[in-house]
Amino acid sequence: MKALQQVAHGDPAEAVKLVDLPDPVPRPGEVVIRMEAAAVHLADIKNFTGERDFRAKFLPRIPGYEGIGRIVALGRGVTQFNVGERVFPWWGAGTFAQLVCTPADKVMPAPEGDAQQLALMLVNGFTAVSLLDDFVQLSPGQWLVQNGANSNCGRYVIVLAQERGIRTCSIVRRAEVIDELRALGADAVILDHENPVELAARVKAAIGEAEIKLGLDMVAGTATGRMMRCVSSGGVVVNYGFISGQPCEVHFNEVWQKEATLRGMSAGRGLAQRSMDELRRVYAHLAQLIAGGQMRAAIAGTYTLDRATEAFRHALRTGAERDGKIILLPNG
Amino acid sequence: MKVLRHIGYGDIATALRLDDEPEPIPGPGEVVIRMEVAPLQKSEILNLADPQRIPPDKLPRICGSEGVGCVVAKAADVTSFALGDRVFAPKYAGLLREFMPAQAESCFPAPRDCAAEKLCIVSTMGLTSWLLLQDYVQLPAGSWIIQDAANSSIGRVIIGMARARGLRTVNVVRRTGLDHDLKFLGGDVVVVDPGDPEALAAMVTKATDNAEIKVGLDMIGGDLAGRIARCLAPGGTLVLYGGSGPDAARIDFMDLHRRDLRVTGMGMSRSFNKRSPAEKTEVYHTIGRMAAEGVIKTNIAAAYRLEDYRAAFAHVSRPDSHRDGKVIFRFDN
Repeated sequence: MKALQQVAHGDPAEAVKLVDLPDPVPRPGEVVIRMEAAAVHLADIKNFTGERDFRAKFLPRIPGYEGIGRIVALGRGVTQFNVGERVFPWWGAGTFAQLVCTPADKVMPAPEGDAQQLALMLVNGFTAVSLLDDFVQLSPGQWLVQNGANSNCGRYVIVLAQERGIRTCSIVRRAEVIDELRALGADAVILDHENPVELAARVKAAIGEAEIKLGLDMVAGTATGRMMRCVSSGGVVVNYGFISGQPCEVHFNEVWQKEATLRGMSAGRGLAQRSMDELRRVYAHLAQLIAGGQMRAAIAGTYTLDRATEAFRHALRTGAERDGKIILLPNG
Repeated sequence: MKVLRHIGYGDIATALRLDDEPEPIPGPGEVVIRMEVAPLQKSEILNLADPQRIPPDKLPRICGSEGVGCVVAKAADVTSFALGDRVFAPKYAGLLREFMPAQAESCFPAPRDCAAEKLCIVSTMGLTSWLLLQDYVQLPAGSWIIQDAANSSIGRVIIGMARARGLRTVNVVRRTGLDHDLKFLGGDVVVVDPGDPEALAAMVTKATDNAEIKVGLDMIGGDLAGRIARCLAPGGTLVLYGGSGPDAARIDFMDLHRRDLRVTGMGMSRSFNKRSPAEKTEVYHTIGRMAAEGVIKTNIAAAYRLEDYRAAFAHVSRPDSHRDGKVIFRFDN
């Protein structure tokens, strides 16, 4: 089989090679999955470049956090799946390969439907769930505010919040995406502003006097402080990304008056605090929403494994130059 | 009586005026306090130059934001104080005057068994430290906390108060040579900030024998706040309380994500005003005792008479490194 293999840390073009490996043979309790689609995340790129905290610990390795495929071989003792069944491998199974061999007990059944869309469920889908459920329990009718709202997580948050009856005020940097987010179900969409006072005024103009107890920040840098200005007294801002590349900046004046708190979301912690049964239920529901078209990602490009370098370069672009996620199609 | 007024913007000579006027007579619910001591805050100097801080329509105003004095007159309906009682005067009320009329319910009883200047630190530094430790450090005795600006006046008060509560402190300072001083005050560990988060965390780990530190107190902000955060245990809280630096606290997202840190802020008046009148009196009583008994203390750099206000303001204007402690006014001629 063909697979991508990370052999070093550095520029993805050098660090990641396309290699030929023997087809895996499942050991007892394992299954082999023929991959249809695998999502590329910024975390993948950071694993390659070896950015601190993301640096892959063991090399060589087959990268890829998530994807979708069909079972082509069963190890001894695997009775819960049949050959031909569509499934999601668990987090970090190494999905940038034609075949993935992985323990069956963590594999989850997948519905029929758009493979590229479903290939994005595991990471972004769970992130959105954790952001909504693990920090502030909002009641139906209450508002949250989020930046980076045109990201895939941001879009998932809009849909999942709507399902919970929670209203969303989404901050975006490009006016072109406003209508699209409204169509997804966003209640208010406003343009970002560098001046925190002006941004807070825009939020207020969009939602009136309603309280905002939860802010979601995936930008970091000064955007964190601007988000702090937007939440109400006692509000919580949850940072879950850092596309600015800067640390979260919070000024004393932004937190003391309203006793707001800044926290951070970690998927690992969110996963660890749920039982496997609960996670299976969460994911079954997400899969249903994605297969049904309610949760819909923008796809900026699809690439075969031999064009992986291009795919990774594309994944590093931002704004209008990458309008959506990058998907690898390991088997073409 | 003499009253010091802030009348305009500019230097000490033009922005301030010492007035002479009749002594106040207590109105309903009021006491008249004969002021004993009042610290001169650095903010008063900044106020003179900056219309953003005190807008022109608030002038003229009487200077002074905290102080201690004795009740020398009271309205017939005031029962909470007797003549001769020592009280903490209401904060931010304009206290640089010989006699201060004040609502009795805004005053708090002060200890009599100590020199008045010992009490100068109660209503700002003492209160801030107390509220920080009371509301944000719900930890059992023996627990560790970490603070920056540990050699500042308030950092020193926090050291003493934390010790009294059985807490152990890691004190991050900017220069060497403070070890003996801060340990004498009750500090457990003194660390000179190496300027790098990993290096600081390693020093703190070593100095505390790998203690779990759940709360950090930051007065400075900027990258230093991020370095303090790096020293905290998973699930720990960084409390911003000073904003004395111009920079926002810069917190690495990995500290938030992987270690589930929380960053929040404490405002003194907000925390204080959540309390009932009885609780407020109790808070002042507790901090007053700590000051009287020397559990918390600050250096007095110099004491001036109100007539010598120009010298006092000039003294406060000196850089921190040239001023060893608080500049105060003493009214007992």
